[in-house]
Amino acid sequence: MSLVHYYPGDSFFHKLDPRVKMVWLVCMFLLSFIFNHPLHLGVLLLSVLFLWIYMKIPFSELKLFFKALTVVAVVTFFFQLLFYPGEHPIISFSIPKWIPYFGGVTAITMEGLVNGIAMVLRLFTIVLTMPVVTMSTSLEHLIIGLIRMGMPYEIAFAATTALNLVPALQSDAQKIIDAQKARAFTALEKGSFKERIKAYVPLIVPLMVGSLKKGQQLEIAMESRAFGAYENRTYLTEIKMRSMDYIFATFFVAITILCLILRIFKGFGVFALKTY
Amino acid sequence: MVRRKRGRIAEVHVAYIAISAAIVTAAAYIPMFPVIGAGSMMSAGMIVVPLVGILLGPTAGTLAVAIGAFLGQIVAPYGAIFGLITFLCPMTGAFVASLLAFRKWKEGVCALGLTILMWYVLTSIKWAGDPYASVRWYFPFLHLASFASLLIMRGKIGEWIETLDPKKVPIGIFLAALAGLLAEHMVGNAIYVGIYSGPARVYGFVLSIYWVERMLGAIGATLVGTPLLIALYKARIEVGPWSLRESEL
Repeated sequence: MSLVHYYPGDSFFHKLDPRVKMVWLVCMFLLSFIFNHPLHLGVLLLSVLFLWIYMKIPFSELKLFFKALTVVAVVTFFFQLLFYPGEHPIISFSIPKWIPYFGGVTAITMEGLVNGIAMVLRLFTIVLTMPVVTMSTSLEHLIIGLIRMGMPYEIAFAATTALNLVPALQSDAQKIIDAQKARAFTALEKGSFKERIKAYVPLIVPLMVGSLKKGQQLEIAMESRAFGAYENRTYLTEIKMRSMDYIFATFFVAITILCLILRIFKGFGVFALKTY
Repeated sequence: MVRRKRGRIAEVHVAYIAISAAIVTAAAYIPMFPVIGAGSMMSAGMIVVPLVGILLGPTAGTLAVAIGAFLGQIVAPYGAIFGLITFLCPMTGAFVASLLAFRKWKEGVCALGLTILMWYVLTSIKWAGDPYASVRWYFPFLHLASFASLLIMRGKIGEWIETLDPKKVPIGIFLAALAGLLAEHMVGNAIYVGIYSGPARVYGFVLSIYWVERMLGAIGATLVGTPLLIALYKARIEVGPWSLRESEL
């Protein structure tokens, strides 16, 4: 089973060149960073969610994200709601000063509420954007895209090899844990805090030594096949930018630059209440 | 003269970089202890990241951690709360730890110092007018202590690690790993303040727990790193500061 979830399809986003998707990724990241108005961030998030649905990525994937992010989102929201300094109170109350960390909070302000919503929207936008690219692009195309963008082949090789090795390493780690359990060593699961910390030694040391020994074998195998003997490599799969790719890349960059200019000179996407 | 050997990056074979990157990705799946208030688990990645830096050096080690952390973002994207740039935090941690282990203490001190400076500059801008902004001055107390200890130790950390003496190696690894983990922490906090406008008051809470978490990470790295370094040397695996030193001679 592949570690990276890829959902093949024939939507326009699937067909885009991986480089264009990466341009989109960077643009979305920048846009979610420059806006702090919930409305603008909401539109960005909706556009990402629209792509998830349009590309027919299973709902179970999205559910997984929402489940994983709920606690972080709730914590982020309440921290902003209670602690963001503002001048427009919505609800006034008083938390006694003797209560640690929260003592002295006197009101929930409009600034705190709006900023809380905005930051949660930003969190979801930032986290949900990257999977749109990885779930719509095969790893092979993604790596070739990165090489075409100037990433050295050695790094691409290391990345793909590492990804293929992760399941083997996870299996090795499980084998070590099972072997320790067979000797009645259960500190990792049942031990006290101190015992648990110590229990990582007989797990990580053999895992890393064993893995790096495999590295030695891999090095020999690579050398015997003359890895890196030729400067210019050829690839089984080739990618080529089409006119549609150029149009979309230009469109994404132009929109981002336009938003940035409007943000700087017109305050576009900025929450209007003055906070300080 | 620096020779570019094929299949190698900074004298380290790509095979080791790939394996180490895989270790970093896999370690993210081994839970260690819960993070109070965040609802997440601190993973064994916290132990592995500085160790990979210490084993492979500033270029190859940092690269391996960057690849491993980036793959982690792709494999488990719901944990990448800083999106595209999440991998920068562990990458910085590995970089600082590796510089110290490879006798480049001046660069290591500068790198840690820069992360602290970045914190002060960013919070001065983002928290302007926040009544609790004064927390920024004492928040990085452990980072400043680590910075001071590095200035006092100078090149000793790298020397101790290279001796492979079971009495000196743990001190070297602890100090290098702690500095790396604190640099990682500083970058993470700076990004959090930058992206999610983390209010100053939150850091009063973070202040009371982060030092425990970082110290535990450094202790874990020391407990694992000491036997690991000795085992790798005895197994004649060509990683670690001693290996690079020999290849430079």
